[in-house]
Amino acid sequence: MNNPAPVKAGFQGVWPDVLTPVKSDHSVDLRRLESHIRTLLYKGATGVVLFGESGEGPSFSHEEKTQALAHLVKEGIPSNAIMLACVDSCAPAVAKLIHLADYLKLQAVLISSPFYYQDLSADGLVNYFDFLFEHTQKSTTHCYLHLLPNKVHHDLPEAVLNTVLDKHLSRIYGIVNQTGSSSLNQDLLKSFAEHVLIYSCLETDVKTLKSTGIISAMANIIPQVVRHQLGSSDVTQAVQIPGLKVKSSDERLVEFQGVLAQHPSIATYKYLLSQIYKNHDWQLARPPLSGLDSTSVAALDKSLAAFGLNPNVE
Amino acid sequence: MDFSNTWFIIDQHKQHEVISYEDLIKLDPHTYTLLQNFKTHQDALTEMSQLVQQSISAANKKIDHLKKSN
Repeated sequence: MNNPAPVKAGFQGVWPDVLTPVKSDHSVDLRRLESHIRTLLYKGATGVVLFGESGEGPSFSHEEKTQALAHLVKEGIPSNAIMLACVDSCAPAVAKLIHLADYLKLQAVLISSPFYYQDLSADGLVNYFDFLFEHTQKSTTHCYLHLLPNKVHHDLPEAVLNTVLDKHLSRIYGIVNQTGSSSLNQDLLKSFAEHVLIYSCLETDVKTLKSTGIISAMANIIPQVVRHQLGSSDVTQAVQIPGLKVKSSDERLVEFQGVLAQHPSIATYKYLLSQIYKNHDWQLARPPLSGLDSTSVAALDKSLAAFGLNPNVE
Repeated sequence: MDFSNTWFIIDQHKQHEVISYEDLIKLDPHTYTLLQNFKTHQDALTEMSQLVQQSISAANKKIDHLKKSN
């Protein structure tokens, strides 16, 4: 990259990758979504990411996203406490979402690579981002490049990232790695840390990266533990669970990762939230996703009993 | 974000309760579990009513199960 511009200040704090509650007819449950976000902000989250990977982003239409965002802002959720994940393969649709974020003065948008059913060339990917940035030239909304697991999304090779950053650096505030790969963080740091901030969505990577912010799926369930992890340069910081031994936030996160690893993530997070909020409607997901089966629920309950989930301290 | 004038559902003494922010901050944090925050009293009561309905339906299921096993 040739651009010598200083790294821009990016987002800070814990930003849960918010789960999207649905009603029995599979429409978005706006009242429950608003309440979940309020509760997360009360528990110390800085803001939330809507319709991202955990929020079943691709399952909801542009109209539903618009309606949800308008509802939240109208009901008093600060617009600068919301980031919108633009998960789509249709460039004009993503550009429309960026305009919407701009209109509502949201904190930022996360722009992922498109998902597609054949390999995409580097030129095609660069053209995709060119289209987005050229069609949203007047937007002042902060943009983050959002790397998602390549089983669903096309990889963004380093050369493509390099070209996109070179051409559109004034609009891009950082790269958010939600691929689940820790080794990719190191590659991203090596190649791009001089130009943009690198964020990992793996809670256990926060200390290694010395991040000031994280987008976290786990924070739907254990926001306070993730916050401790983010703020704990001091390893003595610990979370006290009544009746259990004192564990550091690292230990809690690793243990929680172990609980989650054996089950499909979104259904598991929704089940856990239904336990925390004592409302089984949280287990509903929009098709093609489905809830956990009874065998998984039994196994998860057993692991949770050992974990000791406590909404007051998590 | 300002939470004064908002409402919470908490679990206290194994019961759900709707409580204002002003009352919540007076409680000893070890005596309750915080469930959710709502903008209005009405929203909190709506959720509370759903929680009670779900508890009743779970209890009814248990009773039916016990009746069948007798």
